[in-house]
Amino acid sequence: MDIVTLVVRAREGDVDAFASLVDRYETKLLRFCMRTLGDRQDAEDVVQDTFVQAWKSLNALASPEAFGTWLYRMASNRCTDVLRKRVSRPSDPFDPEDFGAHADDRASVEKRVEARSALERFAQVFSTLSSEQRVTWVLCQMEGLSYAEVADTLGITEGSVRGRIHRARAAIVEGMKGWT
Amino acid sequence: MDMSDDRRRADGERAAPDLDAQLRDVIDDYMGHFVPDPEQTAGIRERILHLVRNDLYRGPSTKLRTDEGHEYSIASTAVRAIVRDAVDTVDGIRARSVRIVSAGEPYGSAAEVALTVTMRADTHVVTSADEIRTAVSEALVRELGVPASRIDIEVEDAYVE
Repeated sequence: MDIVTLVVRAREGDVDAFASLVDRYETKLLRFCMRTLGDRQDAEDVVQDTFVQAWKSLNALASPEAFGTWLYRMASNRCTDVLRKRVSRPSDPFDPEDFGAHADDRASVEKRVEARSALERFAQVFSTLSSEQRVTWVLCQMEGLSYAEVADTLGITEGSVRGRIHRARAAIVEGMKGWT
Repeated sequence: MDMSDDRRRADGERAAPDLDAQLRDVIDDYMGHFVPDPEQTAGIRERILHLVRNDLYRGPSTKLRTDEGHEYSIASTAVRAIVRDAVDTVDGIRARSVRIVSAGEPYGSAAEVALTVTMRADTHVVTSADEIRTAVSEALVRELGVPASRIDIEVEDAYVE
């Protein structure tokens, strides 16, 4: 069923239509939130809250065909909130254990240790980016959205997207010096 | 925002294209560590839909009257679902919006229905409209015991299978 029909039905209380929307977007949204927040539990909470907020405010969505962009914008805003709260209440969201061991049998132990160290370092560097830079970076560099799509999703200009990506990239390259 | 798997894969491959290869490997590693597993998404889905259904129970209701004159209320979403299901039985037609208001004399002894639909491109409008009216009328009488005093149909879109 097309997205407009699903959204129109859902906003009139059709739970099955809303369930189809959840099925269509949940995995993508969860992956985006996990990569942005670096924490599975926080990501699950954001996804759940985003969908429930979407359900309650579907009537505010003027263009049903824009449901996906609207959903990502809400999730991005919630991720930004979570990251800002972390700054005010410092914690280490990146538990090294989360990264586990690499399953590549061909790699030597030494290489695996190196790769894991680099990954943990990247996670540390990534956590120092501003919340806006992280959300923008993940949407663009990890989820594959174009600058225009990211701008539309976040409600900012393409120039702002470029600026955030540029600053994030510079910080990552600087932070990873000697690790790659 | 609905990217195909091919495009996603291509985009993944060129993630951070101007970063050196080693850093790209680290980023790919990071991305690979955050891929949801089906069990995880199933649990979230259930929690979301549980909350949504709870919210639904607090929604508005429609007042109707049986043919013996007894007034009753039913959740508006349930009435819409009856109409939607009836519309969906017509070949080439999918219901979109459904509006129902109580009507008739005495009030509530009938229902006025306004609906929008999307129609398969090869579907004949007039024939389908008749079938929709018949299906909706029968469903309202069968499920709710009230006739439809008016059924307005608007074709909002066409689709190709």
